[in-house]
Amino acid sequence: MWETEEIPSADHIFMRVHACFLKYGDPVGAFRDQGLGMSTDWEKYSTPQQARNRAKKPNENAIVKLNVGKIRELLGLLVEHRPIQDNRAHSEVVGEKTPEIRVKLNRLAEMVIGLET
Amino acid sequence: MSSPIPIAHRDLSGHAEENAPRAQEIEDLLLKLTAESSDILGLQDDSGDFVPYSRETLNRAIDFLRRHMKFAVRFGLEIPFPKLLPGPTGSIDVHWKNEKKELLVNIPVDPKAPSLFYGDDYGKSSIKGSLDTASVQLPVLTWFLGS
Repeated sequence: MWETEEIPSADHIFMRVHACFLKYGDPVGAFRDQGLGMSTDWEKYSTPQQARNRAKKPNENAIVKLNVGKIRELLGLLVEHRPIQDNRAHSEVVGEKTPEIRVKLNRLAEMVIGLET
Repeated sequence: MSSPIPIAHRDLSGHAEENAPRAQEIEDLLLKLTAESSDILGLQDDSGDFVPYSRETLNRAIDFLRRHMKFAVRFGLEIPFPKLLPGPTGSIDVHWKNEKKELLVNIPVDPKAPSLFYGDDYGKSSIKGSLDTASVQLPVLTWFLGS
């Protein structure tokens, strides 16, 4: 198993956004917990493409990039490295995903891989 | 981007007949939105914990939206027409957004649960809390005034 590390605030994490959250407007619904936190991949151990390829259906997913420091400082959330067996990059954003947090996460998110047309 | 509703005359007396063209315009937009949002019910993402969207939750979101937009037209309140978005874990989001303000109201799956909302002007002014979706929430509507 991988050792847990501290993610520097200067780093970024990648998150998959399924097409269903992009179809009607801003993907604010994509920012939600799946288990203990919001599942992401740390850039130290993952490229955006690798993050996308971990989806069950990669071609149905876009990838957004979020700065760790801004998540911590502006939103007061925890960003923790939580590697799992087949994904050393796995990290989670921990804290309640209220409408305020979702609106602000959406503003921080930068699309790095869009949906395939 | 949400579509603004041009309202030529603000009728604070609430005389519906004077706003009839606008009322019809809003009714048309509501009918269009109701029809288009129905396919939210068929959405499916590829995560393991996806919660399907129910007709009941979607209808509550549409009713909330309809109630507020009709009230806004009746009293000449110039607010953007919102979007309905698939929210987290089976909930529906009502999303108002323009270049000056943004407001997100979450309609939860549980009809007895409070509906949480948040809005701001991208700067110093913000509004947040919980509300009852079964009635018109004046603070939500009036917050958009003065944009």
